[in-house]
Amino acid sequence: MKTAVTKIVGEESVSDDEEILTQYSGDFTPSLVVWPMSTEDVVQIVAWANENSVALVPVSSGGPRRRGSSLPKVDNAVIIDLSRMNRILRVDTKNKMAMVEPGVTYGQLIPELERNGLRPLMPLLPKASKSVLASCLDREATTIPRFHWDLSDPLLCTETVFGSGELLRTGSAAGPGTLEEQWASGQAAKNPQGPSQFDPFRIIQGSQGSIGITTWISMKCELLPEYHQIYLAGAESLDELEEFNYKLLRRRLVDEHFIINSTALCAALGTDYNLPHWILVLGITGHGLLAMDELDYRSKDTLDIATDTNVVLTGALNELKHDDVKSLLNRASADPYWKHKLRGICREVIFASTLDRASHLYSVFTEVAEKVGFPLGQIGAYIQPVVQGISAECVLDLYADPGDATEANALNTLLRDGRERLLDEGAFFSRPFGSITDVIFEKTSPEMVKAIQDVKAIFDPNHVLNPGTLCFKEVPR
Amino acid sequence: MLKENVYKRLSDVVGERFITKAPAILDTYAFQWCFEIESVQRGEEPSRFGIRPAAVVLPETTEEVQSIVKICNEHDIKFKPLSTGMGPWAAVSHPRSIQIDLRRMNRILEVDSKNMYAVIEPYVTNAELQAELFKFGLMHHAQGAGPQTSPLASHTAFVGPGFTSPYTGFSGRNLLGVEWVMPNGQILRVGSYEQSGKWFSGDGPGFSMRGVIRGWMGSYGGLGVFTKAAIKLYSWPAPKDFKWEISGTVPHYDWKVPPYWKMFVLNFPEWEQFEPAFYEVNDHDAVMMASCSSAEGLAGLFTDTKMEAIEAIFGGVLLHAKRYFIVLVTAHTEREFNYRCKLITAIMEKHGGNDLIADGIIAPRDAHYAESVRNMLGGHAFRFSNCFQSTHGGMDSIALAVNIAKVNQPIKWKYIEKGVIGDDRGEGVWTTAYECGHTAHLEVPTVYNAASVESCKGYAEYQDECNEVDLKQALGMPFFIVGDKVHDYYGPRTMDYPKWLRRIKATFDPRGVGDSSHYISAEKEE
Amino acid sequence: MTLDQFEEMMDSCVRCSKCKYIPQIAIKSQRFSHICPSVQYYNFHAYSGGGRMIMANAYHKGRLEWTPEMLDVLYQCTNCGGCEVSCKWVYDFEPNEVIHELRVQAVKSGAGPMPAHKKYIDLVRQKNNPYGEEIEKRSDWLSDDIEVDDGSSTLYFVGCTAALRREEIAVSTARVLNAANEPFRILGSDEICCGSPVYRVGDRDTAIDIMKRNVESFRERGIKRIITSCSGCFNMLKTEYPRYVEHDFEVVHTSQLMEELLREGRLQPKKEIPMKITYHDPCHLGRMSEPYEPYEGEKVELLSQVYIWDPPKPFRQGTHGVYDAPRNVLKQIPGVELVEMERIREYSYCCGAGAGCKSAYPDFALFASNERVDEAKSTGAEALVSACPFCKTSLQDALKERDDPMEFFDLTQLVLKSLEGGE
Repeated sequence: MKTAVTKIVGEESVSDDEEILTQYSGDFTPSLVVWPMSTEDVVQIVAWANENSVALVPVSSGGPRRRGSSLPKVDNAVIIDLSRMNRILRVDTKNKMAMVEPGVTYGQLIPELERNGLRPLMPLLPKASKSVLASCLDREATTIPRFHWDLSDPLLCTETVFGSGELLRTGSAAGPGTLEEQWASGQAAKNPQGPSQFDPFRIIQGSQGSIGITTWISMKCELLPEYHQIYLAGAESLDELEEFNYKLLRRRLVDEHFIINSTALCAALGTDYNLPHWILVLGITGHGLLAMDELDYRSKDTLDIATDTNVVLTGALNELKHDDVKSLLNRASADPYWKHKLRGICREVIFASTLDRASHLYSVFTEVAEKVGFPLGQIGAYIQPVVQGISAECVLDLYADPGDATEANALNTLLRDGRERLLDEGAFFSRPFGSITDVIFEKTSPEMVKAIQDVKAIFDPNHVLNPGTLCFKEVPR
Repeated sequence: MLKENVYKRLSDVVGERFITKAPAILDTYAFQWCFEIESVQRGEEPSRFGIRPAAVVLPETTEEVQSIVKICNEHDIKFKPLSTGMGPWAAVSHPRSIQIDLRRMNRILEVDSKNMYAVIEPYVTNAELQAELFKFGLMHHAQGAGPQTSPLASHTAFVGPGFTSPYTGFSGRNLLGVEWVMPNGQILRVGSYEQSGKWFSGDGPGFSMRGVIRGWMGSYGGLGVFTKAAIKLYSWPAPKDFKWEISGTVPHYDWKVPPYWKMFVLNFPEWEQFEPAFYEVNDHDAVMMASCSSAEGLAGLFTDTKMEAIEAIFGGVLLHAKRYFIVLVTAHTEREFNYRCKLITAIMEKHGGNDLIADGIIAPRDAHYAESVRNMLGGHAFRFSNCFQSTHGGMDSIALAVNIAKVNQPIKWKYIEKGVIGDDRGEGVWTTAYECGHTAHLEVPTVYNAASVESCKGYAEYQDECNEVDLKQALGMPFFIVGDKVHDYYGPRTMDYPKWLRRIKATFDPRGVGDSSHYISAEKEE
Repeated sequence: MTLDQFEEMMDSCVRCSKCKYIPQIAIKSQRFSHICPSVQYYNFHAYSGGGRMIMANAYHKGRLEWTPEMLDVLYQCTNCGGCEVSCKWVYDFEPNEVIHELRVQAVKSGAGPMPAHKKYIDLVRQKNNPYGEEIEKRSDWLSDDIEVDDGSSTLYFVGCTAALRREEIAVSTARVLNAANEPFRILGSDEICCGSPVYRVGDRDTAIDIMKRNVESFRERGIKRIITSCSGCFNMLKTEYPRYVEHDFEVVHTSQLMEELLREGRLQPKKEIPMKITYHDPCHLGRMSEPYEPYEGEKVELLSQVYIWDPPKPFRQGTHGVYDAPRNVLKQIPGVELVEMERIREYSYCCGAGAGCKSAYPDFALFASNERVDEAKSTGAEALVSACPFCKTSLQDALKERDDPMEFFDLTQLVLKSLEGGE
C-alpha cells in the first residue's frame, strides 16, 4: 500500500508511523496516512483506492477529533489528510467571496479577509485546527442568522473528487468554461446551485466525507463593518426570550444572534463568572456609506423590540462585559480547544429543532442527565438560530474527565439515553455523529435509507469513501 | 393508446369524474406557450399544439398520486405532473403518457408563523398564498411567472427568480421539507419530517436529498411528483391591521400602500456607474425590489395598458432612462424607512445617478406597488405583443449579469434589425440580485409574435445564438438548457455534468416513466 | 363571423391560467380567488376561458370533431365574461367571444345546442318564452292598481323571467315607476323573449330573427326608451342587439333609472330598513353590458412585433359596466349598511344560471350559486341584493337548498320597501 501511494505523492507525504497513526485512530487504527498536495494527487489516490478496494477516510482539520466523522470505522483504512493543501486561492472583496483549500483554518483566513475588508461567516469559536472547508461541508451553524439564507450557507462552489474518482466543480464553477474563463467573464464562483438540474454540493455537504473529497470551496463572506456593538441579556429560562427572539428574527436587524448557557460561556471565556442560566448575545453592526446611521437604526429598533417583549438588553451581566463576548467572536479557539479545557474532554449532542422547542428539549435532556448522574454544571448549551430563524441548531456540550470512571460512565449513558430521548421528543439529528447515527437510521424509513444508499452508489459505487459512516455499511469492493 | 383495463384502473384510483380521455380536453393540455419555439428549433413549422396525453387525471391525495405512478410503472406509461402548467415543460412529450393535473391538491396545510414557514400543496397559487399569509404578517417568495402560478412548482421543480428576490431570495434556496412521490412510485419525505413530524428542514440526516430533487434548475416535471413542500416565509412589512384593499375598475386599480413604502428609479449614465451602485444597494439588505430593464420595459412596468406604455416610451422615458434599476423600499418602522431612503439616495448620488420618479419622468401608481409585491410586473411584458420569452438566464455575480447584458445587446440588435423581435434597442434585460447581492441573474425578455412564423423562427434563432454565446464565452447557464440533446451540447464545456443527471435518472426512475423531455433520459440518445 | 377572425388570438393564448381567477391584484383570500365557476366545478383546464379558446383552436384546425364530451365542455359555461376581464388586463384576447363563436359553429354544424336548449328554443318559437308558459300568462303579474300609460314612448320591457317566474320584480319595478310618476307602457302578452337564452347557446340565426322582430315591434309602437329590470335583457337590448340590428332606442336598467330618479328627488326612500346587505353584480349588468362600438380601422405595426389599431380601437374590458348605479341607490336607502364581497364589479362571480346552464346543467348551476351564497354570507350580511331576476332565481335556489335564513331582494324591491306607501 505504502509503496503504491508513495509513487503518487512522494515519500514526504506518506506515513505509517505508529505515533502518527494513533492521532487518527478511534475504534479502528488506519494503516496509512497520506497528505496530498494537489487535486491531481487526490484524483490519483482515489483511483488507486478504487482499483485496490481500499477505504479512504478524508480529513482536513487537526485534532481533537470529537465527532468521529474523520476517524476510520473499518480496518486497513487510509487516512487522506488534506491539511497540507492550505492555500487561500482567492479573495474577492467586490463579490464577498473567498476560495480556500481544505487545510486553511480560521486563524489563517480571518486576517487575510480582514486585509481585504471582509469577514467570514463562521461558527462560534471553532477549534484552532478546524478546517474552514470542513466546517462548511459539515453544515456547521454560523453565528449570524440574517446572512444564513439556506442551511447550506456559507458554502458556495466546490471542486470535488467523487468516490468514483471523477472530478466535478459544483455550482456555477462547473461552467460552461474553465475557471479562468469564468473569472474573465465576471463570475466569482458565487452560485452554489447546479450545474443544471441537480445540486451536487448538497450531496457532498453533510456526507461526512462519504461522497467525495473536496479540494477547494468558495464561500460567502460579508463586508467588515465599521461598527460592531454587542448586547447581552440574561434569562433563567429560554422561554423568557422566546417572543423577543422571534420578533427580532423576523426583522433581520442584528448580526450575531444566539443563546448560550453560563457553563458553556464560562468555559469559552475560561472564567468563573456568576451569570444567569442563559445569556443572549446580539451583535449589531453598521457598515458602508452610512455606517453610523445603520448602527443607530438597527440598535434602536432592536431596543424597541426588547422593550415590547420585556427583555433587558445590556452591555454587562454582572462581571461579564460585552467586550468579553466580542472577544469570542470572529476567531478560532486557542489551543487547547476551549471545550476540552473545563474537564478534559467534551462530547457534543447536536440536533436541529424549531426555536420554540429548544427549551423543552433542553429540559428533557437535563432530566436524563439528572437520572444518570451526570452533573448539570458540566452541560454546556448553545442555541443558534439558523436559516434566518426558521429553525435552530442546538449544541449540548458534555464536559467530562476521562480519567474519572464514574463520570465517564455517566457520560456514555447520557449520550445514549439522552439522545434517544431527544429523538423521541422530535429532535432532528440532521448531522448525526457517533453512536446516535445507527439509531437515527433505524428510525428513518426504509425508502429514505435506500434512497440515500442509492445516491451513495452513484457517487461512490465501490464504497471507498469513509465506509461505516452514516448508513453506509458496505466496505470497498 | 391506453388499454381499457389500464384506464379503468386509473379511474378506480381517482374516480370517474376525475379522469378523461376526451380529445377535446386532452388538446387543452397539448397546447403550450413556447411550443412554437421548440417546434421551430426541431425544424418544424411553429405550432403551440404538441402531443396529446393518453389521459388526464386529477388526483386529490398523495396516495392517489402514488397509485397512478405505480400503474405507470407497471404498464410502461410515461407521466408528467403539472399544476397551472405554463410552458412546454408542463406538457407530455410522448403520446403514451398520463398528464397528472394536480389542481385538486390545493390546500395550504400549515402556516407556522413563529418559525416562518408554510406547508403547501401543488395547486396553491402565489396570490392565494400571499393573501392568506398576510393574516399572519408574513409573505413568501413568488416566482416571476406570476401570481396565478404555483410556488410549489417553482420551489421544487423549476427555477426561481422573482421581483421581490432581494428580500425573499430564490425559489430553489427557499425550499425546506418536501414530500416526493418518486418516479419509481415510492414516497420520500425529505428532511426533518421523519424524525420530528415537522417540515422545517429539507436537509438530512446526513447529506441533503434536495441535491437530487433539483439544482439551479429543477427537474421540470421529469423526476416524479412533489405533493407537499415547506417553504420559507418572510415578514410582511405592513402594520398588523393592514388589509389588502383594491378600489377602482380595470385597467386602473388603486391600492392602499402601507406606510413606509417608497419607490425609486435610480438612473445612471452607463453600466460603469450602474454596476457598483447595484452592488452597494443590494449588499445592504435594504430593499424589497431592485430590478432593471430597458426604457421600454420601464414604460411597460408602470403603466396599465399597451397604449399607455407606448405613450410613456415616447413621452420621455426613452429619452431619459439610461442604465436604471427600480428600487422598492419597504420598512417595518419609520426609523428603518428613513434610514433606507437616506441610504438609497446617498448611493445614488455617490455613483452619479438621478431618480426618474423624483424627476417626473415616470410615475408608478399605487397599484404598481401592489403589483410589485404581488409579483405581477413580469406579466406586463405580455402587453406589447401577447408574447415574450427570455434568453440567457445565467446566475452568478452581479458583474456577470452586467456582462451578459453588454454581450447580448449587439446580438439582440441584429434580430431587431431583421424585424423579427420587439425593438428595445437590444437593451431590454431583467436582472435581480439575491441574498444581499451575493448572486444575481440576468435574462433577456424578448417580445415576439406567436402568430407570425417569421417572428417565431426569428426568436428561436436568437435564443439559439444566445445559448451558443453563453456556452462559448462562459456566461453561465441559461434557463432552457434541458432535455437530452441540449444537455449533451452544453455538457462538454461544463464538466460533463449530464452523466450525473443520467445516473440520478436511472437510479430513481429505472423504468423511465417520468417524462424526460425537459429533464434528461437515463441513456444518451444515439 | 367565423372562428377565422379569432385565429391569431387563439394561436397566441399563453395558457397562463389568469382566466380562472379574478384579476390577481384583487385576490384577498384563497377561498374567493376564482372567477370561473366552470373550471372550479369541472377542474380540467378545458373548462377555463383559455381552455375553451384552445379547444376552439383545435376544432378550427381540424384536430377535433364534435363529440358529446366536447359539447359538454363547451356548454358547461355561463358565458359570464369573467375570464375576459382577467385576461384582457394583460392580453388582447377575447376568450368569451371565442366561446360564443364556437357555440355558433356547434349550432351551425347541427351538433349543438344541448337538448335542453333545443327544447326551450322551440318554446320560445312557439310561446315567446323559454318556460313554455302560455302567451296570455305573460301579463298576469299586472294588477289593477298599477298604472300603465299605453301612449308612453317609454317601454318597460318586463322580460320572460320577471313576467313568468319572478313576478315580484315586475310588480316592484312597476310600483317604483308609479311612485316616481314615471310613465311607461308594457307590451303585455305581445312581449316576446329578448333572445338572450337563444343567443347565448349559439343559435345566432334564431336570435337575430328575434332581435329583428323585437326592434320592429318597438318601432311600430313609437318606443324611444326601454327600461328593463333584467340584466340579461339589458345586455341583449343594449349591447348585443346593435351588433346585428340597427336601432336607436335608449336602453336603461332599473338601477340606472332609480339612481336618476333619486337624484331628481322623484323617489324619496324614507322608511328605515336597518339591514346589513351585500350586493351581487350581475354579469350582464356589469362586465357584459359594455357596448360594442362600431369600429373601422386597421392594425398597424408601430414598433417591431407591436401592433396598434389606427384609429385607436375601443377596448372592451368591463370598465364601463353598470357598477356604481346600484350601489348609489343602496347608499340612499336609510338604515341599509352595504358590505362588499371580495368578488365585485367587473370581477363579480357569476350566479351560475346563464347561457343555458340552469336548464342543461342544474347541478353545476347550483354549485356556482352556492359558491356565491357562501361568499355573501362571509360578509356577515343578512340579505343579498341584486338586480336581475335570473340571478335571483339562481341564488334563491341555493338559499332554499341549504335552508338558509338569508334574505334576497331585488334592488327594486328594497327601494319599494323604503318608499312611503311602498310594499
